[in-house]
Amino acid sequence: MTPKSIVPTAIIPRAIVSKVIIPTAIVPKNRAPRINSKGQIEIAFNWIYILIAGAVILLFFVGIVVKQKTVSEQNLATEVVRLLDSIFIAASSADQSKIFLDTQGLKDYTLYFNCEGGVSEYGIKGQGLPLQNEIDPVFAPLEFNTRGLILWSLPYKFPYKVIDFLFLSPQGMKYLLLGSGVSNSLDDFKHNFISAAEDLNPNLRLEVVELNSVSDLNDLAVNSNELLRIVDFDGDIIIENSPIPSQFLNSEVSVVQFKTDGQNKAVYYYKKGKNGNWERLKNFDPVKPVPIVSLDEEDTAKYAAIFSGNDETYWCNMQKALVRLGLVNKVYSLKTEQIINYYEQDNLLEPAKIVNQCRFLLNAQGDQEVNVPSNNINSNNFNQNNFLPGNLNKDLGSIAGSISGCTELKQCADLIMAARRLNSADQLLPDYSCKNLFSS
Amino acid sequence: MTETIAVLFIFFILVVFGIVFYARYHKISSQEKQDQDLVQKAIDITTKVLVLPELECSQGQSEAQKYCLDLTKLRLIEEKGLFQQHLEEYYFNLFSYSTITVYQTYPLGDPDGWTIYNFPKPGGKNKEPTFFIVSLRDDFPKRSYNYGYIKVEVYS
Repeated sequence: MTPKSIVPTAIIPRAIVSKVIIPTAIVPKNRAPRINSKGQIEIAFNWIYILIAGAVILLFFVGIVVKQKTVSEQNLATEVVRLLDSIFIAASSADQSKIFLDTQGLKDYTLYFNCEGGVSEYGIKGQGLPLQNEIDPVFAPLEFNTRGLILWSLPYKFPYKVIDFLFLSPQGMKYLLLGSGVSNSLDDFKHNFISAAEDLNPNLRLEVVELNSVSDLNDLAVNSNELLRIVDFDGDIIIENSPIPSQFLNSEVSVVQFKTDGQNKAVYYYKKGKNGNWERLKNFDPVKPVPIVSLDEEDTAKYAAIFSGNDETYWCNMQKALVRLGLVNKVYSLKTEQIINYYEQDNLLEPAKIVNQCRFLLNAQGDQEVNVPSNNINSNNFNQNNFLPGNLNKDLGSIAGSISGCTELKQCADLIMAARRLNSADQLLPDYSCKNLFSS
Repeated sequence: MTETIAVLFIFFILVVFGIVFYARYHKISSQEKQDQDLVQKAIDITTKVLVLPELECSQGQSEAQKYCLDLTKLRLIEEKGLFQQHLEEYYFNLFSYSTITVYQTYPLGDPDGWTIYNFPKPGGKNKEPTFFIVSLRDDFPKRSYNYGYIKVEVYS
């Protein structure tokens, strides 16, 4: 029988070697301590080996957890932005509505809104993927942290509805309305804005402060880091490179200024300059101001200017509206042809007199002096309302032709004039029992 | 050595089991997420169609009639293929991969309806239809209101 002690150690697993009890009687006395010492070293080595292997495995799982946490945070941020987008779609689809969105959970994150080259981008700064949108005009400050957001939707009409604008106002943002607006023909607009900002629900109420002069502005108490937007209705109260009142230096303040020169309407934006002066933003153009493409009755484009972060984002979102204007205009051009064709048919149900009248109103060549064929039609009415028979198609054509050129005040003024003429013409048609395009 | 190998073997079996379990869970949850996204997309597109200025029943300066489509505009858009003409530069960003059809049910209209936008996803596997009831305003020869529904099919 082979004694245990003479089994070659090379074929015994290392883990077992340390556990083998070797009878001391058959082992030379001088060798016993050496074997014990080797065993002890091996036990220590095994523990180190186990510790290292355990640490590596632990690190591997900790790494997975950390990576997963980062990915989850990024996914959550992306998901939140997608959710915001769905809320924005629903909000802008609800005509003329204000909605409060509780963003308490996002108060530690910075939301940002940008628009360049006709594409909006918004998301949570440094988190997740931003969302890009080429269609919907969203007017909002560039960056903000907030516990709540007011979403305000208004239709942009030119003169027919073109698109819905969505304005975002962070809860707690103050609008300081400066000047009377009388010198700039914006008096009504200012008062309309003040009443529109009011709401029975305090969550939906915009904080508006009326100031009549620069001295009121200088005396105003302001908290540090407060989000402020000064609106200069007179167009000459805020002057480029003039000093900013000292209490505003620690706040997030910016200025939007409306200027009117005859038919030309424009908007300027200012921010805090490095030297403590008002610095005019020139992202849209170094020289030219940003045109306001708005009919007087419909001030949506002016409202949009108040809520926009800067000149570039304002014009970028307005570009989206102008692109859509071209497409909606095509639909109305087709509908005009349809109405004209309808009155060209024989045996219509309407009385012959009305049919003739409508044929004339819709089909006459607009630029010519016209002989009014019916006693029912009062020619003064045409002049008073800037209406020339047969001009519907021409005005729709003028709108289509002026859209691409509307980057300068003059061309935008032509576009506005064409839209006004179209509006007057369309409103008059029902007075003569004729079908109209969009008014009723 | 055998014990170590056995321990490692069981450890790796557990790891592989964990990975397989997680992969299956992840696959199922992302499939559910995709389905949810598709439904949400269908609802978003339907919402957009209902307030589309190209289709809505305008009333001048007043608010447009709710859930009402102008039949004259609808017919013209289908006939001239307006949305298809401007698909790439504009309407794809609005409606993505979808088909939008309007059907008239009272009085009974064309069973094929008016397909105003049609751009199915090439190789798309899923389709989510959404329906919404609308009134249809016809201005010719005299103003009348018909009834129908919009069918928005979204592909993924």
